[in-house]
Amino acid sequence: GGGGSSKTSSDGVKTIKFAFSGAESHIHYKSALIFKDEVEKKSDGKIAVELYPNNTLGTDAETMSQLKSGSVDMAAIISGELANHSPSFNAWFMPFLFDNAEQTYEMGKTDEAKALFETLTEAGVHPLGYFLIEMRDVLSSKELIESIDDFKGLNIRVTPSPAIVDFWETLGANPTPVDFAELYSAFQTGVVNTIDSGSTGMSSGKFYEIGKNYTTTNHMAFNSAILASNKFWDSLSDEEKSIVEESMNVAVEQNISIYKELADEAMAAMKEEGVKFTEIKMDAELQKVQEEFIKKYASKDEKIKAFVEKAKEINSN
Amino acid sequence: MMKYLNGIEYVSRIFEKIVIFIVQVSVGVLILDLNIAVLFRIFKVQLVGTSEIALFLLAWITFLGASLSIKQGSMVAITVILERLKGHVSTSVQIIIQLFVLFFSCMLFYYSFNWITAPNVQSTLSSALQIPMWIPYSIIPLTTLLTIIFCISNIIQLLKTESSTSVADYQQSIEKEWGVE
Amino acid sequence: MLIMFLSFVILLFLGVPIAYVLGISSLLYILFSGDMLLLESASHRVYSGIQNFGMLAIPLFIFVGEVMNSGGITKRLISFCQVILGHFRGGLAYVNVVANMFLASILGSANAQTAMMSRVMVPAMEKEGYKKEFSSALTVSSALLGPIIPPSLVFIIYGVTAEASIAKMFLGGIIPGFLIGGGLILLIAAISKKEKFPKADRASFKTVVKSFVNVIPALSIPAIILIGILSGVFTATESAAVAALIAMLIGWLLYKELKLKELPKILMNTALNTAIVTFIVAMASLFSWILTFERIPNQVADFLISISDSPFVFLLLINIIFLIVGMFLDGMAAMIILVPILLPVAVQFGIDPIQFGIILCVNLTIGLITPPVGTALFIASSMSNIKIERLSRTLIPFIGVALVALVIITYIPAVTLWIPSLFG
Ligand code: NA
Ligand code: NA
Repeated sequence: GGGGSSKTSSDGVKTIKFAFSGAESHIHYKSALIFKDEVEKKSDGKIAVELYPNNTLGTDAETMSQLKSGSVDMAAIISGELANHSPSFNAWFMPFLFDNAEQTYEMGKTDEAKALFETLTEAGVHPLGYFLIEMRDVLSSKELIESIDDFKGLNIRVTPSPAIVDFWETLGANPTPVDFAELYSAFQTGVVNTIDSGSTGMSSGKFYEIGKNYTTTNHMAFNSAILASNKFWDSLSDEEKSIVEESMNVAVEQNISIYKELADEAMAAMKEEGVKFTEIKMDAELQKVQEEFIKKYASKDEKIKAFVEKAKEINSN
Repeated sequence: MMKYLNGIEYVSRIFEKIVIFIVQVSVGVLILDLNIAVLFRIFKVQLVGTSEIALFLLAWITFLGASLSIKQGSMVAITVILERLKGHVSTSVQIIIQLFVLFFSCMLFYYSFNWITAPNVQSTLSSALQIPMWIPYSIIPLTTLLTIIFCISNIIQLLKTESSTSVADYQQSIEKEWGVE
Repeated sequence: MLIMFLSFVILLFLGVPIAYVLGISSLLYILFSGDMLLLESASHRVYSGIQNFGMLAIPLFIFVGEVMNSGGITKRLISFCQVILGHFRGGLAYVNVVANMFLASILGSANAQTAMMSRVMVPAMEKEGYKKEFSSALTVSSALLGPIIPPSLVFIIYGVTAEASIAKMFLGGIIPGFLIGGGLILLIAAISKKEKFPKADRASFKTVVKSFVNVIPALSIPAIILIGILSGVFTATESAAVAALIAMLIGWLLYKELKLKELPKILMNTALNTAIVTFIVAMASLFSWILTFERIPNQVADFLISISDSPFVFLLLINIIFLIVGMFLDGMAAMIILVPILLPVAVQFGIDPIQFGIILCVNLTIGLITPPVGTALFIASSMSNIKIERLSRTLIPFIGVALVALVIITYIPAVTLWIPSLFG
């Protein structure tokens, strides 16, 4: 059989291989499914989409290479991985820029967010937009975190992106990178006592069974970029390109409502398990921390600077 | 010609010694690295890079160790049939096996070299330590090259035993091979 | 696809190392399909296939095993069992099983344990008047407990491939391990009268105490591993690193049998034995990646679901598949190829990933002693100098015991899930 890049089979059907992380319950899968349906409908079945969820074709780092070589046609790559390719993507990790998921979602559609893609010069990819995954909050097995002073001395599990680690160190916490497969037991045994993730991640990982204290912080956005391989993109006719673009626009439009549904479910599930909720609101102290942190990154990178300004504009509307 | 062949064997012996030294150090450092991580955690200090270092070492141990076991013929294989073969046939089959390994290593060397020198990989950094990823990745072209040298040296040895017809010579060569350590 | 399958079988039986069989078959597939783009990503796949934190436990547990032998830990475990059990009829046979269970709580691989115990137990049993075939068969089948009682290398590989908790896999293996160990003990009891097994003199109380005191430090190793998993000080993987350090200190400073000048050799053996496992993992992940590109997992899953919608039938079916696969294939490679294909189907049938993993691991472990291809069988046969055919015949009742245990593990989920459930 076929395999590899988008090949046209004997019956004239072109196949797109679309890779991403997350299982069938994940927002990636649900959003990608909409894209698949749209493409297949709009093209009258002339273009088929094969989904490769759960990183079955490799890690996000590998998927980046596969996009470059053209063995994968499209992928959703999380912004943490993109920051390994271009530090400008740290823009998404600037703290407390957005009060809620809608603002993050709106940000994804701005020119300032899309300008980050210009820095991926060597990746050989054509950007098609952003998928929102969720907003980052914290879940603690120790005590309810009610102010940023409570973060001091906590062992918080993070994904080891430098900006994220830097942020938690700024707040006086001990950012601890624990492999996801070991996270549940590490949380249970107290290797970490706090998890930095979003509501759907906390719920699907069943971390609420151990940590009963949920604090809505919205401290960072968590999203991914939808990228097409240049080799694949250049092989498309103008008509096919617009089918793909339009279909992706539909998927991106619905992405936010899928998120809300998933987040509501996750919150309800956690409430049922007796998790306590609170939130940290922006105050003068927090603002000071935020401004100093952002200054450090924005002063070195024009794209981050423009990004932050736009984000503040969205936030104040 | 003979001199040239002996040269390859000589070089492969030296490389073998170097590889052995590197993997020994790597295993030792791996054990220390993870224990240090635990020790620091007890004192409430989180070391961010320790697991990344450990994973790089695991890659070193894996690929260097694999090329070493090609040199020493210690890789897991199904030898039910091979064990029943004798004389010329056995030697030929062993040479064919080495040729397969050689073929694979050449292909992987070529493509992994292209991979680590590609601009997109050259500009990628590791998540925690922020070191360029092509550095840990280069263990693959490096070890496939080693495997190529070891394979050629193995083939030369097989050809030598093949040409030395007397059983005594054959046994002697085996003793020589295993008596090295 | 046919190319991949044919080259796989031919290369395997030609005697090409298994890791290279997987690599070359993948390569040939790419070359014949003309999908050269895949080649550009192949190196990255090979590299990433082993870049997993859980996999780090493999060199660590192998190091522990190496240190145990050189440090006199193995010796003390066996002599302790001998002192306690030696005076029963068939005493040394029981000692064999129980010592293997002890060892299994420190070691993670059946092959290492078979080699270690064949060297010690088979000559000892022969000297006491047991048949060599029986001694060897008992040793190799008891050594199967190595990867079933935690820690375990196959459990680690499963945890990594299935993204399941390695700690839970370890906990889940405890009862199955005792089940198989108990089964072997019952088997010995059943035949010991008929076969007129010998027995030794009862050891004096003083000897018992002395032997017990001697073995306490050795027992601290499994204790550390268990505490490590259950307490907050370190993760399951890190517990292996701590155990490695402790085992070294015990052998060096306490038993004074481990000489520092042996360390380079131990380190090299650790690296070589690690590479043998992890290099197979790297190549198997390339092979499995090609299968995924070809959407083979989806087709197999659809096929399995189409056969029957009963979990009972599905479990029976996968046991048969695994046993057949285990007869021919290396366990590690089989694991990486099969888990991505079969685990999603198992989950659809409502089977817990931990239970599924243990069923799979026990199957593939049994495969180590079934002909025609069984590495533990080969090791035992060459170390005790018994023809494979003969040894295989003697092994039949032992394999029977393992299969009965397998049926229990398969159809009573609590056997695997009860202990993990106590810890969340
Ligand atoms: Na074990
Ligand atoms: Na077998």
